[in-house]
Amino acid sequence: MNSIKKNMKLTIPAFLLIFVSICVIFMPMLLPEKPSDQSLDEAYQSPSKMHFFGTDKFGRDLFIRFLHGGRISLSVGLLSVLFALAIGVPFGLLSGYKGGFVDTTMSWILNLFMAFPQFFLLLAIVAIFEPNSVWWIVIVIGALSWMDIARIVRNETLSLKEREFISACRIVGLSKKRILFRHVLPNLAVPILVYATLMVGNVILIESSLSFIGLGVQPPTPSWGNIINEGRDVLLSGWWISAFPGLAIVATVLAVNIFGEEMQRMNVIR
Amino acid sequence: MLNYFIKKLLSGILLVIGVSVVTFYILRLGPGNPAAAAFDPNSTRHDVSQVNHLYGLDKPLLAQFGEWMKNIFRGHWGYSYASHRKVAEIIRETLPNTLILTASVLFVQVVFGTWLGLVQVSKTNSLFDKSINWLTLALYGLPVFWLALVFILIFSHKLGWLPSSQIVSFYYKDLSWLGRIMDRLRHLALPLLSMSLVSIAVMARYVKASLKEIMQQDFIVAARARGLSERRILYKHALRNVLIPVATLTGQYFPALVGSSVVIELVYSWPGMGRLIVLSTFARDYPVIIACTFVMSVFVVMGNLFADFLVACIDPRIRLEA
Repeated sequence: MNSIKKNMKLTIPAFLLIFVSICVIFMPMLLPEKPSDQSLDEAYQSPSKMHFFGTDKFGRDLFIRFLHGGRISLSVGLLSVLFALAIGVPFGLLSGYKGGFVDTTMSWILNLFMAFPQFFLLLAIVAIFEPNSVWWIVIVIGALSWMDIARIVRNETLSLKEREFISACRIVGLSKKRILFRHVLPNLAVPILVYATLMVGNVILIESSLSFIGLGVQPPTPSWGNIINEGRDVLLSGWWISAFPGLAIVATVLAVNIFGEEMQRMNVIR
Repeated sequence: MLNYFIKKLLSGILLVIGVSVVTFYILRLGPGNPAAAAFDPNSTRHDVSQVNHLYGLDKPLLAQFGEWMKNIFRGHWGYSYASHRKVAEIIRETLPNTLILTASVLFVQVVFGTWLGLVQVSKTNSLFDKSINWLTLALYGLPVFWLALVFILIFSHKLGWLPSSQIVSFYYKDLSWLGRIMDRLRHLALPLLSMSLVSIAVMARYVKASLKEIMQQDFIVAARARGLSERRILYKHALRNVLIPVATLTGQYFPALVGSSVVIELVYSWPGMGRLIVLSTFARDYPVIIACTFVMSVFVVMGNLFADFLVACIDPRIRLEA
């Protein structure tokens, strides 16, 4: 009974995530409308059979925009995390394994980056470099979220390198690179995976906040965050504009978090 | 003890210097000319170079940085490109508002988060524990700005209970002192609620996890063996120990809290630093952006320092080790 319950916490969020991904990847291919198709005489229609999620001030179908926006939001989430991992994991490995002066310096750099309120630095960079494509957003968010993963990897590496099998590798005469990537890294796969999962939820929230402010993904390209922003001024008369993308963010992030947390729990138990 | 404090303080100062270096260079290495952005397209090249000279933008980068460092510690923070007012003056107006908001959120977060965690552990696996668990998990993934919109829709528009924007009413000056306090509190209510719900959830989950770990340690087992009641163990022995992770988390979570204040301040038109940096970002008002980032980072460093000191005061192991 217990094992079924445990699995439920993994399977339900997993199915939800797969369902959302399939929807946002494939449904736009099947539907002929584009997210930017306007029809001004259909502006501000509430949800109906014609327009599942209603229409906005330009008469654009919000269901179509929702699907395309989901594509953007989810891919920004996933890609930013991959980018953050690409920086954080090698950083943490090196810092933890080298130790001594290298570790002290690298830890200081880590602390320095963590001293910034991430969102303030994000805004400052967005203001200066004016990232105008989704790729830029991915890079900027990724470049500002690698610190936690680097710290986790560093601490784990620090404790791993004292273990016998790593000493054995060193005695056999393997190169540092080989020890790090073939022997240390595989042992860190689970904590990295768990943390990366939890990070996806966080990054989706950051992207949506940024787009909500109007400094992230720029309209007419939809993202869940900027659709919510478009509904902000007409909250009373057009509640549906902000409601559905908001619920989608809540559901997606919740699913990611439950999934990640359950993995973490099982990892601890194991 | 003193050694520990001095060491922490020095590393804090070093971090502040590092922060100022990073902010300065990020902002100056960006493309585009800040002086050109501040003036109309009709200005000639001569005008622009004059403006550059006025703001010292024609000096070498290193000299500019030296100048900036010197001025920032003297309190000369330059002039805003957009409003031509003193940056220090603008910061002085907005900073207290942000501090009021974040301080009240911190207070609510620590008190209610710890309390929820404690109650959950004392009633493990009860209906209360399970429902709070789900609630905090759901809140954990909530976009605060969306929550803020929902609250405005419900509490301001539909029910008309609470104001949805600004820090005081326009008739604030005519109110009695009690009325003024009430007016401020009413304006604080919605921003505080939408910001603290998420942070309470974070805190409660963390406290619960740490408490569960603590409850399995030897000194708790010893207390049980001496026949103390579960309640006394939890509130006398475990609570003291859970304060350490609470202080640590509060320090660590502070940057995220400040970050979420940005969107909250924007949605509720709360005249604080978060709203200021967004508006300045739209206006490309570089001096204000630099100052905001710098000031907030200094606050984060100070917050972490404070958390470290607090942990050292609570936990003798840390200060004796160092």
